Amino acid sequence: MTKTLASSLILLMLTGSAAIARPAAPIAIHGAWIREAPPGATALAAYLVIENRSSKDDRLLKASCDVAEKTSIHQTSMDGGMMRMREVTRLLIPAHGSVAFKPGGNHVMLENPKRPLRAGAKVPMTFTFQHAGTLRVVVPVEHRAE
Amino acid sequence: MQAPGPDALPNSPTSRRLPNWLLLLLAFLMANVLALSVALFRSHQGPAPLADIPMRDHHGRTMTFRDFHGQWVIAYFGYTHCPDACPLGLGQLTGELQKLGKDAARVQVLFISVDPDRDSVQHLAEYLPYFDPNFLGIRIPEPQLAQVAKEFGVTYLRSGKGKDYTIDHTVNFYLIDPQGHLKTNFQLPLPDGTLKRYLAS
Repeated sequence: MTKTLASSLILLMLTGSAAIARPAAPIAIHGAWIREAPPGATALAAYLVIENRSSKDDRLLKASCDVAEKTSIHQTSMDGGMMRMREVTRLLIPAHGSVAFKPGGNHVMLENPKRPLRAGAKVPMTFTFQHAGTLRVVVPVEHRAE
Repeated sequence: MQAPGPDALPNSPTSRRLPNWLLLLLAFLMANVLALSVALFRSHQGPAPLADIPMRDHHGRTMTFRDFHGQWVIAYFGYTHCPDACPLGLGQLTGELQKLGKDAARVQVLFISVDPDRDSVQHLAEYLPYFDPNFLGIRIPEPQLAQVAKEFGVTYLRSGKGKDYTIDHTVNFYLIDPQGHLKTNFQLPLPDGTLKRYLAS
C-alpha cells in the first residue's frame, strides 16, 4: 500500500513537473519558410502560419531576424489587378484562430540580407507577441515555384 | 506647256463644278467615314502603337517592341526589389511555360521594370536568368515607361521613403500576338491548357 502510494506520488510529481516544463504554448508557428531570392534581389519574403490556441486575442508586435538589415510585417491587398503592400503593426491573431502569411498575401519582409540566403540555409527569426511573449523559430530558405 | 494663269479657273468647265456646299458636305462625310474606319480598325486590331518606344534589354541591346514582331510575347511589369509578387509571378510563369512543351519556344517573356531608378541593365541581367535564361529584363526610362504602362493599362506607385521604397503595381501578365497587338491579360495560375489555346488562336 505504502509502495503504491509512493509510486503514485512519484508519478504525480513527474507528470506535474512535465506540465510545468512544457506549458501548452498559446501561440504556435507552422510551416515557416523563406523564399530564396534571385541574385541581386535585396528583399526576401518569409511565409508562415501563426496559430493562437488561447482564448485571448493576441497581437504580433514585431518580427526580427539578425541576418537582415530590416525586418517588417507586410499585408497585401489586390485592387483591380494592382497589388498593394503596406507595413502593418500590431497584427491581430484572433483567439482560437490563425493568420496565414503566404505567397501573394501577407509576408514578413527581410531587407538587405547581410549574407546571401541560398536554398538550404537556416535563418533564426524571432516573433514578439503582446501576450504570448517571444517565440524563436529557425526558418529554412527554400526554392519554390509558388 | 503653258502654266495655268490666274484665268485658268474661270476657263475650266464651270457647268460641271460642284457647288461649294456639296463639296463641304462630301468632305465632312469622308472625314467621318475615315474616323469611323480608323476606330473600327483599332478596336478590331487592339492597340499596337507601342512599336517605336525605345528600350534596352538586359544584354544592353537597344530595341523596340517592333523587334518582337513575329513571335508571341508575355510581358510582366515588376521590379527586382519586390519580395513577393514578382518572384512568385515569374516562378509561376516558368512552370506555365514548361507545361507548353515545345510551344514555349514561340514565346518571349519580357520583365519590364517599373523601377528604372534602381533596376539597372546589369541588375536585370543578374536577376532574370535565375528564373529562365530566355527571359529578358527590359529597362525603359521615364517618361517613356509611363507611356508604355498607360498603353497596357498598368499602374505603378511608389510607397515609402528613402532608398528602400516599395512599389505597388499591377500583377497581370500581358499577351502580345506576333503582329504586336495586345491580345489579352491574365493572372496565374491559369486553368490547364488556357495558354496553349491562346497561342493557337
